[in-house]
Amino acid sequence: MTPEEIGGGVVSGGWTYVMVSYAATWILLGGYAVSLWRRHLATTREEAQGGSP
Amino acid sequence: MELMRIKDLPITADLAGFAAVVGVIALGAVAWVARGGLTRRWEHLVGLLGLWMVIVGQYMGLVSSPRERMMGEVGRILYVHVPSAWLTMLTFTFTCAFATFFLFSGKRHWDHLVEATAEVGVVLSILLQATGMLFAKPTWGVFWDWDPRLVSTTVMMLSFMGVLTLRGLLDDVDRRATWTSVGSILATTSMIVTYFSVRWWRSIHQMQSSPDTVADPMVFVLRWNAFAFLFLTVWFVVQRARLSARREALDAPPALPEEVPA
Amino acid sequence: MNDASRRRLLALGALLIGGGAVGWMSMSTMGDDLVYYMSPTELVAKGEAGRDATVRIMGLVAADSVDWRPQEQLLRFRIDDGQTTLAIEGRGAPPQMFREGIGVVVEGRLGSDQVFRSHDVLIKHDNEYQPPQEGEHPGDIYKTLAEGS
Repeated sequence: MTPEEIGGGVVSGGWTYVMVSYAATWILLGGYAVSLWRRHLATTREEAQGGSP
Repeated sequence: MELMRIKDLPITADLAGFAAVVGVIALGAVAWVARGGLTRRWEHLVGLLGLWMVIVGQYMGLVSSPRERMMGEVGRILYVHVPSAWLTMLTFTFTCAFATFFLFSGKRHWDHLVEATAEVGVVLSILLQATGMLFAKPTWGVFWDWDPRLVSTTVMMLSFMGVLTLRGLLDDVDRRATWTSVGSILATTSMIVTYFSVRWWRSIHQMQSSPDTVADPMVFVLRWNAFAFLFLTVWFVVQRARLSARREALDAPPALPEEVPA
Repeated sequence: MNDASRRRLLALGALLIGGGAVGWMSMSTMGDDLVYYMSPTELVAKGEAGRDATVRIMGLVAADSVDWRPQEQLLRFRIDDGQTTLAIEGRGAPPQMFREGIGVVVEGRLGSDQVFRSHDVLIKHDNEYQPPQEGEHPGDIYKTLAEGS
């Protein structure tokens, strides 16, 4: 990419960076919530078996 | 010009707000633990509130808030980057506080909260790094550079990852709790350095933003998202602390009751 | 010594070490030798020692100094720290936020002809965030800033 004009000082576009940032928020926070839920479920199963083998 | 070291700038307003939030949560935590800790599931309400606020906050950030004057649309990354920075700092502050509480009181609740805040803080700091890189590329021109702010943030993240790794290696419940707490207090050093890095050293990263440097409609969206992140973080931490308590009861059933003075 | 007092001792030790480390870092001048960037004044003051070493310098892009030749991919401008002005010469287009009056961190070498040859131009912007003003179009900002300065 060779811009003819530079020095505008304003970022044009860049929606990809924005969308990836917001998606990262959902993936990380959502992923962590799922991981917590799964670990709680696994613990419930182990408790039902009466402690660790 | 910011060519000098900016050590002597007033940070009182900044820290006063932070101290107020820390104080309220710390009092809440102390009261909660004093009443017996993990008995009631009150935290789902907070979590749902956080979820709703994040959804609304992301809509505001993506759609209804204005473009930034120079950064254009990319300025919207501010609304996820800055809250994740604040909450990373806040969460690790509590790791340090809970670690100190544990070492002085020996109560297991505090140890569970240390583990919970350290893990949630690491997740938030990963988000902080990811959004920071995505913010840096279109504005500064690079994803990453060997800059004091970026390096100290990475050291902070790795320190707490190290503490959690250490915790995973220790089997004895008492030693595990003690050394996690000692490690957490030491790791907090890196968090304080990260906060002050833009003031102590020259950095490509700008100074902390404040309501004076951010336009009003953007301050509102920023605060909204910060509280959304705060409520989600509280939910995460309480859920994680419950998990720690359950795991501990499962893996190491207490053989003897806690020491009771005769 | 029982467990409880051992734990308290460890807590005090960790708090002292941590607090001491932070206090020391805030007071020490360690950072002065390990700077992320220098100002043009500092670089020029180094004289011969500052030449032909890869360094970063930071300053504001001087008004009316930008000369961009897209065919040759050649970018020339001057940066200014209030005292010293330094000519910069680099290849390739700078980041989009580049404009006259903005802070830049330039990585490269100062030649014996006092021209700084850069291989990287980064933008250092301040912590202000504002919406565009009424009726403002992206291209206009550059003009108003040029007039205002």
